[in-house]
Amino acid sequence: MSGMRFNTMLFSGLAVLCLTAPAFAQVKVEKSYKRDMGLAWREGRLELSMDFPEAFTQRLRKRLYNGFTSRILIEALLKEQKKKTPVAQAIVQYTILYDIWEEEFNIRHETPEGRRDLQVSSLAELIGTCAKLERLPLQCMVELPPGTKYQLRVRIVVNPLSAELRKKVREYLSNPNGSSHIGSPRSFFGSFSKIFVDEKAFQADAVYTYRSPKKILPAKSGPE
Amino acid sequence: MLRIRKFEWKIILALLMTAAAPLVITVFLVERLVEESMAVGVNERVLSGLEAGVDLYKEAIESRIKIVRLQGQALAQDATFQEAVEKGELEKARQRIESLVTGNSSVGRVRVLAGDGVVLEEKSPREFPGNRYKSKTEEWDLPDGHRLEVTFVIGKSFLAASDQLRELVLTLDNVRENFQPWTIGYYRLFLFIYVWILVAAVVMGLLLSRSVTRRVADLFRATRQAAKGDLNARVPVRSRDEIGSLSESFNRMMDEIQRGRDRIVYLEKISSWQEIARRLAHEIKNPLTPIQLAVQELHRSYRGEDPQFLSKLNDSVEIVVEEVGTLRRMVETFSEFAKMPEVQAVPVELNAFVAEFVKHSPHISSRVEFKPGPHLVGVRLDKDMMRRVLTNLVTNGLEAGEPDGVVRLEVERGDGWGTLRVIDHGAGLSRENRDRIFQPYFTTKRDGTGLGLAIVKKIVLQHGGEISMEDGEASGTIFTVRLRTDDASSYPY
Repeated sequence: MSGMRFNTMLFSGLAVLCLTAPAFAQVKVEKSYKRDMGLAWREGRLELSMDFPEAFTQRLRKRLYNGFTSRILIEALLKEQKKKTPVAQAIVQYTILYDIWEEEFNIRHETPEGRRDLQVSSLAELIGTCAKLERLPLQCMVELPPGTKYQLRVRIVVNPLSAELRKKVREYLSNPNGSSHIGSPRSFFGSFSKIFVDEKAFQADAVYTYRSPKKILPAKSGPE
Repeated sequence: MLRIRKFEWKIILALLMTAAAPLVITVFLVERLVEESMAVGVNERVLSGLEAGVDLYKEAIESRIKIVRLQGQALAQDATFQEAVEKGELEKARQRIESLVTGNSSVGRVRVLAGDGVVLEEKSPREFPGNRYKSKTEEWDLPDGHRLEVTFVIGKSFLAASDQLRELVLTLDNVRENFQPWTIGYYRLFLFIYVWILVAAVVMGLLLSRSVTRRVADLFRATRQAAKGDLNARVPVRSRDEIGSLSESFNRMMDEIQRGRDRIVYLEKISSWQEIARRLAHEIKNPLTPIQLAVQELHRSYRGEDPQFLSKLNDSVEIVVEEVGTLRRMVETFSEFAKMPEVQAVPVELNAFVAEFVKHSPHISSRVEFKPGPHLVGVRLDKDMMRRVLTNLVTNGLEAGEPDGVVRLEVERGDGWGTLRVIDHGAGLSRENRDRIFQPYFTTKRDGTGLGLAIVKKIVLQHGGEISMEDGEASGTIFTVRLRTDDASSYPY
């Protein structure tokens, strides 16, 4: 093999290695369920009702009780049959923190419309509050013609990696000693982690996807 | 635009290969190193331990709450205490309260309140400032609408330590859960650094190779020029390394080729002139004797009395005889030029040869200065022919100078050549004449044949040497004869 050909192959290999490095990341398996979800028009609003107790696994319950902040992100998309673009959507996030001293769960409920805080004192109440959606209004982006078949897709993400946590992890890696002295040595890699680590590849604790059967929407009711 | 030569590409590629060769092993090692170093700090054992710590913190907090709660509840349900409160025997109640307060560090305050909220009894072990302690209060009902109020306290630093540990667990757990993106990040950083190392290797290779390749390119260019017949092609010698030596060798080779070509051209020209000289000598020599004899016979045969005619006849015969004599001498010179013998070179030490020449030339020795040089200069030469060269050059030098002027001879050695210089102090030669001085039949003397220096040059060239002429330092000319040297140590002197 001539030197030139060998070099060409070597550098091609390197280039491929650099470009495909992100592809080495394993894709976490998402749990999927097919479930009939309550979708109804009330007072001109399309509302979704469903529950997802599976998301509150033993591990999550233990972590909740141990005082770890947990987030549950809920994305609901309504798609017209055979079309990819959603016609209606909703997004909700629960941030749950158990206050060991006060012995109560603090829940922050956030939607694009705003947020509200509430406290519950038991896990059963918490699951009753956060593991179900009751009359969650879907934001319709187009007029939904009757008689068309739709499918609802709800994605529950348990502990998606927040920007705050990403920052904390980066800080930990760049300053593993936790030294707060000015001029204390920082780890070489940690200092470059923001550039070289693809944080989009970070995974949540768990992802549950629920799909409804394709069906025709119920008749619209209430004021337009 | 930067033009990269093929040779430079090869050097760069060699450097790149050298730099990239360890890459495969290094990539593997880096991958292992990253995984192992990450695993040292972030692994199941560490996380389990830390999570157990979180559990312990939680249990500690819960236990404190539970104990205080149980103790408060026990006190509230204690019949003696209830009776004391009911009867207003606060001293008795105080003792029980005190034992609760002193017996548990998590109890911040105990109060007995009347139904209307009036504090009947209050006991607090010490101050618990709000900036350092967190508190919460619980109440139990006592008879007659009284209430027992117990305040639980816990240090905020304890809670903060618990939070910190929890945060650490969360961070490490995240690193473990997202181990691959972090590992790939390390991997990318390594590749990034490595790519820059390769780029630096290319740039360094280019810079380092440029000094070499530029000289190789010069050499290449010169060889192509030479191949096209340009014998003036030379390479600048920039250093003393192998390429410098190669350049020097090339230049020497070109010098040799040029000298060789000049020699061949000159010898061919001289050969032509020799042939002409031989024919001329033959054609002229043959009729000379009959001419001379005929004229002399004519002179002898005249018996007349005319004194005027006799005078003219005498003059004419004298002129003819003289001119025939001149022609004969010229013919002899031509013959000599035409019949120059082959060189029979023998090893000779040049200083000794010149000294011997001076010694055995009494007619000129008094006007020749020669001081042998410090080094032995071994050459191979035909003594007879080279004596002729010296005779010619010295005679020319003496003729060119003042009547009592001298000619200086010098011998030296250097660069594989033995050099003999003949230095006169005459008027010198114009540039135009200097260019033609070695041409046959060119002479600046009134009675010269123009063959002397041509013969000299031919002899020198036949010896494989060279001859040149240049102006003297002050005046006059310097003839330089150069002959290849041999090892002179074993030469006869």
